[in-house]
Amino acid sequence: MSTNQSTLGQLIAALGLDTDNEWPHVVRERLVAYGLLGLYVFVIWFPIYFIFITSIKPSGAVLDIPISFLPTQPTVSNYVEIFQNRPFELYTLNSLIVASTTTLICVTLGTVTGYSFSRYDFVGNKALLLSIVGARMIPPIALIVPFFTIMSNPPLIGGLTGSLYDTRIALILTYTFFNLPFAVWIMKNYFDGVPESLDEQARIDGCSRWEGFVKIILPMAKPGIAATAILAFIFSWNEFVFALVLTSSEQAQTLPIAVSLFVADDFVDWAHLAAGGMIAALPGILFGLFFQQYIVSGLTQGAVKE
Amino acid sequence: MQGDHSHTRRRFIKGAGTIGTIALAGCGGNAGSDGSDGSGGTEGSDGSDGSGGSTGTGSESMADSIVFYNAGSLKYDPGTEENITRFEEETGISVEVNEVPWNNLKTSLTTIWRNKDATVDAFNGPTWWLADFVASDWLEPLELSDSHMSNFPENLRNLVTLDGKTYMAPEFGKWGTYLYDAAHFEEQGVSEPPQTWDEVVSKGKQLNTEDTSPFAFTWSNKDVFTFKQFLYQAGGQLFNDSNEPTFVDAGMDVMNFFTRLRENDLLPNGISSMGEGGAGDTFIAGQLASVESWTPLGARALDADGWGADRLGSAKPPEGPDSRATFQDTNGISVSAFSENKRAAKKFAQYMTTPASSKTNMKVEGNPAVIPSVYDEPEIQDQYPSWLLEDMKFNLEHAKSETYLAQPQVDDYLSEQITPALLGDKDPQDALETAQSNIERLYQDIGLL
Amino acid sequence: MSTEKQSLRRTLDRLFVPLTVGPTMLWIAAVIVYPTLKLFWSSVFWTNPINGQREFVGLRNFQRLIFAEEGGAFLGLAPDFVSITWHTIVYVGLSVSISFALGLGIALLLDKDLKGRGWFRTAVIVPWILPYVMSGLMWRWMFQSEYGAINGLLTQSGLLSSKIAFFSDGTLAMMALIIADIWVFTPFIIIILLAGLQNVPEQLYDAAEVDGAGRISRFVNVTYPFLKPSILVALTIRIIFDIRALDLVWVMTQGGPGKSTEVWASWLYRTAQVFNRPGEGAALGVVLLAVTFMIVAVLYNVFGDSPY
Repeated sequence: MSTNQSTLGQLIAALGLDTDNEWPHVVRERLVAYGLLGLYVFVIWFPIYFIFITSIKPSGAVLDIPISFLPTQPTVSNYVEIFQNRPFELYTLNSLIVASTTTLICVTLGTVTGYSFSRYDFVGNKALLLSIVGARMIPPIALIVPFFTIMSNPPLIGGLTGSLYDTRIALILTYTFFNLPFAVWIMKNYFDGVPESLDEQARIDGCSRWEGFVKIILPMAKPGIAATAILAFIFSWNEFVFALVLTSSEQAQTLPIAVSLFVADDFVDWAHLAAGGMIAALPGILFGLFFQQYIVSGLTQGAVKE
Repeated sequence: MQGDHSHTRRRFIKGAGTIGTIALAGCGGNAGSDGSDGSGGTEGSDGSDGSGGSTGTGSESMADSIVFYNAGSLKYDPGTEENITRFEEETGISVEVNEVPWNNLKTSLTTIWRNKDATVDAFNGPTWWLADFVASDWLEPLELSDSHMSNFPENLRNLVTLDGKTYMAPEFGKWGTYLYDAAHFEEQGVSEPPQTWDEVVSKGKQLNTEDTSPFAFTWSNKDVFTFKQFLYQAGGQLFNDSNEPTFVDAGMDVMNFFTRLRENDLLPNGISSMGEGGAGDTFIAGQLASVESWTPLGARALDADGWGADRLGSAKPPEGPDSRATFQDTNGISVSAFSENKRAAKKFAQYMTTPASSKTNMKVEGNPAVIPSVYDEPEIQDQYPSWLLEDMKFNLEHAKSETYLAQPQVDDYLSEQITPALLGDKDPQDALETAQSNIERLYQDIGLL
Repeated sequence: MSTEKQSLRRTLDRLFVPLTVGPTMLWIAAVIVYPTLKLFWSSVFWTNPINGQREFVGLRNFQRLIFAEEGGAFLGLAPDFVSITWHTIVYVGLSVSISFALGLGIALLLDKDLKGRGWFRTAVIVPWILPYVMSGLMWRWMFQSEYGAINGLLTQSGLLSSKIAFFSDGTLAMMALIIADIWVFTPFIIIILLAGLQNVPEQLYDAAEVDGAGRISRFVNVTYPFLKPSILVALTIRIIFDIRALDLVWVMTQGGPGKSTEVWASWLYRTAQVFNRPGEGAALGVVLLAVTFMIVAVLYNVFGDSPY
């Protein structure tokens, strides 16, 4: 807290609210900017560093006093043990299946629908779009009661599927609820940025609407699709509340639940929890490091009107 | 360490390694329900009508695996773990253990059964969950033989019997126990552990040092446990026989005791965040002279570095205005009414609670047996000092509990009031009266009053 | 042959919009509209938690949750409602405002023409992408009373002589939650504001500089007008996401000690799932929904912009 506040204080000072713009000030200003950013990055990465070294400490050493902030005797045994002693391979598999299926559904529907919303002024376009914007604001947690009832006894398909409680299908269906409107919205905004002249050119070249969409527009939309897919995947991968309400065994439980299960009473098994947490965090960290520009563009498209 | 909790792992290996019927286990938790297709399939309809009608006629074949939900991690339950291994070896029925944190387990089970789901066959939990589960028709009567049940003391038999049917087989005892750091007592010139609440205060002043607080109890997510323990010592109880909450008077004795402890600076900082683990850690770290915690702490302390039988002291809980009662947190095994493997699950419940299993549990984990005869076994008498056994046996006979309806919400109403009162942030009388009237209104609401 | 193909092409083209929009709308009807209607429906029933009996009660669930009454006499707002609403306001208010100020500062720094800007941007985004559960447990570990890093740093450096039990005090526990929340969500503010800053035409800065405008005046007169839409979006989404957030609260404090960190989201979960009272849980869901839309409406009115 104090760090944050002092960062802020220095920040205001660094912006040089009363400075006159002479050359040495510019240099000083940059140095201060580097310093502040460096400090900020250090502070926010410290917890990640701490949980990482917790995960590679021997599990007994986690409760040593004084606390060591450097990895003495690093070990991978916590990682090995969570796969040996708990069905972590199943949790991981569930997370992968649920997140990728949700992503596939949302990206496919979101892309085609977003395109139509962007290009065609059909009847109800505005109203439907507004309802999609509205749908994005519905707090998912408000719907835990209806989703629980619906998944226990699904209408229409219930005769075929039986109860969907504690299945991956229940999670996939639920996750499309908050990802699909988002996907439609990002893709609509993305297509808005693709010049309509391309559509016209395709039509002049004798392409049907479908051909034009698939051959000309879709390739242009790849970055938008990538951004949508990455965000939908991350949102689904990280989801906790519905997984808590709709699953009860490792046939459907995902990694966030698996990690929370280390809090047994208040004997928290920190070393193994840290290892499990690092595994759950891995896709996020990798996406963040390597696909940062897609996440940024997706969020920006999704949030700000073009 | 790895061998310690191989069970969760085993089901997966088994599923992957065996062809034929259990191959389905490779798909994870499906194994339980799938495996039952050929065995207990017909029972499903029996259970799901909610009547909890008796099954296990003996005509259907025994399922070859069951799903068991354990309260907490088996890592902290090695006794249960050892008994599960014995059960699997002797019966050939494999047990898939799902470890659920204790304070999530009741919610998980409620969610599962509201949904009439057959995911879970049996679970292990405390006796005081029974009222809610039985009222909803979610549990299967166990039909244990009289000779099996006669092993347990009467007070415990009564707790697990509702409307003449047994719904839980008591597995191991858990109750509040008073432990002290004999080395610290000696240093401070206190020769005897306190016998009464007054002595906790008077001796506490003598035991107080800069690094060590004289007395603590478990709070955090076990606050209601501790409150009930002190309440019973003060001669009160939460409810009378007509479901009316009646704890304000005796509760005030408890609160006054807390106030004296707090005002004399006899409690550690942060007591309200100390659950069973936290209070135990602090005690073992030498920062508490004495603690009322739950029984496994004794065994934990004996194993800890720098501790041994000569440093760990145990006594009966200091006497309140009424008695030296403790809170009965005995855990037992129950079978789901929706289970499709009831016969195997009942066999499991029976097996896990025999005198032999009780003895194993006590030997391995230090969980006190709930069968008095176990205390006379030579192996047990060799392993534990006689004074500790005597205290355990005393507690087994004097432990009290109540099983009441809408338990999560009742406990929540209590918890939200007693924590600020403990910390001195709220007038105790006001807190207890608010809790009592909230509970009263709740019971009127659900038609109990 | 070719005419047939031609007419198929034309039919398919005519059906382009229905075929591309229809399935999504059906899907949305199934997973969003239907559950939302069902939410309203569930909120007017009351289920007895001990025997599962359900009865129609009209608006009584709402009345009971929000108002206190004794024998039909109105006694004001229900104490739980007041205290939990207050916690929610404190939690959301402080986390949003602090993370906004911090995020704006970092975004302004990152908008400068610095070498290695991309690297910094990557580094500041990561906390937002991690599973909230993992972040919550990570902060619980940081604030742990004996072995946590924060107590370790404070005592081992000699700043404090005894450790702080953060989660045993309502105020400290709330502070820990808010810090975790700021840590998780500041990157979101940074991303949105940074994108907004890119819309500010460089020439205007130059012009302002020529005019000799100070920094504050430059921010107010040049940056802010262009940044306003982004600020609005960042604040709106940040607030409505914070009101609904259960993950951090549930894994860090479960609403404790006592009830001092109970917020609406945890109240809703506890009522519906722990207490087995779906009707009241649904009623709280309706309230949450209404409040969310009200906040959006108010924000957009204050900023005088239409949503999207």
